[in-house]
Amino acid sequence: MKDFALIMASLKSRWLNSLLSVFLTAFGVMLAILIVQFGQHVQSRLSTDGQNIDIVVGAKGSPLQLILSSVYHIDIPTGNIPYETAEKWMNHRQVKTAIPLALGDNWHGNRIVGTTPAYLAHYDASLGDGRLWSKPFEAISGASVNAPVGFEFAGAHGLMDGGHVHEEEKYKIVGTLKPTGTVLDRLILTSLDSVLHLHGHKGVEHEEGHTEHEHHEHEHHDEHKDHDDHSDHEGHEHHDDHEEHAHHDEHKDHDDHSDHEGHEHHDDHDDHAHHDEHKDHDDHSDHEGHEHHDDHDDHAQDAEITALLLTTKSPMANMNLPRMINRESALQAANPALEMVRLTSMLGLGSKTFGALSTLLIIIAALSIFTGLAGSLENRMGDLAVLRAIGYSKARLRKIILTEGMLIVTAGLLLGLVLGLYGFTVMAHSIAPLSASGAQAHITTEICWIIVAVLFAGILASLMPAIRASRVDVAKQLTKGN
Amino acid sequence: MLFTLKNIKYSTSERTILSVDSLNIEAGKHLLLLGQSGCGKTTLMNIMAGLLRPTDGDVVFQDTPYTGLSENKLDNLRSNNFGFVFQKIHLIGHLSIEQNIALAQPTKDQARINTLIEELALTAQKQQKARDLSVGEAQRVAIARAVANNPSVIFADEPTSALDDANTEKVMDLLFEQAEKTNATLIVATHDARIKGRFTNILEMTS
Repeated sequence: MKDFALIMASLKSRWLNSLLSVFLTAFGVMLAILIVQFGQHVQSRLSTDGQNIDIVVGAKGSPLQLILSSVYHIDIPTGNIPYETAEKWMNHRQVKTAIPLALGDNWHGNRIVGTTPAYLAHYDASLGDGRLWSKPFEAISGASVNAPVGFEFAGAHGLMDGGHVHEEEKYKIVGTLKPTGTVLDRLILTSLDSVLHLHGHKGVEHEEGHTEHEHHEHEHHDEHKDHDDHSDHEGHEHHDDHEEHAHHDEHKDHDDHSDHEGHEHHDDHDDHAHHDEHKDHDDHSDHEGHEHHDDHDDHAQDAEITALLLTTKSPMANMNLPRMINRESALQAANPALEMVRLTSMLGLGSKTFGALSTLLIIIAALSIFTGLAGSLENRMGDLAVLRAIGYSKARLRKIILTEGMLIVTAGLLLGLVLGLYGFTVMAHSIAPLSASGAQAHITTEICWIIVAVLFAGILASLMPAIRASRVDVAKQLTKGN
Repeated sequence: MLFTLKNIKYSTSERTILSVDSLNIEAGKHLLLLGQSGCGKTTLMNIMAGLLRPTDGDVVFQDTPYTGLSENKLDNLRSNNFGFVFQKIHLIGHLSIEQNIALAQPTKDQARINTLIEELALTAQKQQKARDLSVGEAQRVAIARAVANNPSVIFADEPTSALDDANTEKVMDLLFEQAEKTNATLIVATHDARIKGRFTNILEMTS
C-alpha cells in the first residue's frame, strides 16, 4: 500500500479533527493576511497621500482631524480660515510650495476640491483625457471617479453623499486624471473660485474670459486688490478693515448693491457670524449656508479656504513655521508625519503590532495542528506499532506523520490565502473608507513571509508527533492491545 | 538453520524476564512456545522477530546475526521474511480488508492479495473496513496479512486464546495451511494447551 493512500485514509478516518485543524489554520492565515493587507493599505495610503507635505494649516481644532480631512480626505474639516491670512503664509519666505484647498461639496461621495494646479503637480498627476480647468465650474475628475469629459453635474452640499444639491450651478468635467495611486484618484478638482463662489465667498483668482458668474467674482476681486498688487483706495480700505477683522466695507464698491444694501448686509452679518455660519455650512449638510448663498449671491463674504498644504524649504522651517502659525488665534498648523505616527500608535497599527498579531495567529494555527496530530497519535500508537512490526522504518513513520501534518497545513494555508485575499477584496468593495481609498488585495512580500512562517510552523508542529510516532515501543503496544 | 539463539537474556532493572542458554530452530519445523502468562514466551518471540533487542546474547537468522544490524536493516529483514499474527489482532480499523493485507507487502502484489482474500473466504467483505468485521473475520484477515509477503517465518502470539474450540480449530487449520503454501515455519506462542497436539516441536517455558 502506498504511503500517500495510507495518509489519506488516516486523515479521512479523522475527518472532523482534520477539518477543524484545516479551518483553524485557514482562519489564522486569513486573519494574518487581512491584518497585513489592511496595515499595508493604511501605511501605503498614509505615505503616498501624505508624501512630502510638511505642514497643513487650517482652522483651530483637532490637528489629526485637520490632517485626515485635508490630506487624506476621510474626515470633516475643522473649519475654514480666511484666505488673506492663509495667503500670508503661502508667501512666507520659508515656504517652498503652498496648495490651498477649499472643501464643502461632493458628488456621489467624491469630494469636490477647490485648489490650484499645484495640487496636481504635488502628486505628479497628469491628465489622461481633456484639459485642466480654465474657468470656474470647470472641473477634472480623479481616475476612480466615474465622470468622463463633458459630464455635467451639480455638487451636493457636505462631504458625504446625500446632501442638498446645488442645482443652481453645475460643474462640467473638462479633463480626467490618469491613475496616481493617491488620494487624487477619488477627488473632483476645480478652481478655488468655483467652490468659493458656490458658497457665497469672493473669488481669489483673476482669469480671462469671465462668465457672468465670474464677473461677480471679478468684482469681488476688486475688493481684494491688496492680494493682487492693486493699490486703489478701496482695496487699501479693505485691507485695513481686514486687519481689524471687520468686513463691513467689502461691498462698498459692489456694482449690484447700493451702500444701503451693503450696510444692511453688514448689519445683518458681522464677521464672526459669517465665519460660524460657513463653518457649519462646510461641516454639515444643513441648508443655512446654502440659503446664505442664495440670499447673498451678490454680496459675498471674504474668501475662506479649508486648508493649506505647505512644503518648506528646510527642516528647520518645519519646526519654526508651525510655532509661528499656531500663534495666530484663528489658525493651527499640523505636521502630517507626526499626526500619522500618533494615529498609528493610537490604533495600534504599528508594524510591530502587526507582526506580533500575525505571529500569534500563526502560532495558534500551528498549535491546532500539533494538538490535532498529537491528540490522535495516542489512539494510533497500536496502528503505528503494527506498521513498525511489519517492517515500516522509523524514518518512514516520521515521514508519514509529517506529511499528514503538512497536508493539513497546506490545505489550511491555501484556504486561508483564498479567504484572506478574497475577504479583503470583498471588504475593499463593501466598506466605504476602504473602497473610497482604493484598497485592493495584493500578494506582497509579507504574504510570502506568512506562507513561509506557516509552513515552518507546520513542520515544527508535526515534527514532535512524527518523532514520537517513530519511537513507538512496538512490543509494549502490541501486547497492550488497541 | 533458521534461528540460532545463544545465551539470550532479557532483563529489566527489577528482574530477569527471559533466559535462554541455547535454541536452534530448523526451517519447516513448526515450533510451539508453551507456557503460562509471564513466562517470557512473547518476549522470546519478539526477540526472535527483532522487535526487542536482548539484554545479552545474540540471535542469528539464516546466518545473519542481529547484533550489528542497523535498525533499518532489521526493519527490512522483518518486512521481507516475517509475518505476524498478534494476540489482539491489531488490524488498522479505518482501512479496508484489502488495504490491511496490502500493508504487509513491501511491493504491492494485487494477485496475491486476491488469492488470499479468496482462500480465506473474505471476498464479500473485501472493501469492508476492518473495524466493521466480526472477530472470526478479523482473525482471518490477520492471517492473510501475516502471509501476504510470502514470509519464511510466521510468528503467531496467542492466536487462539480468545476463541472457542471450533474457531480454534479453524484458525489453526488456516495457519498451517498458509504456512504450507508459503513454505513458512510457524512459531506460535501460547498458553492454550488445546493446540499442543498439532506440534511436534514444543518448547515448554516456565517462569
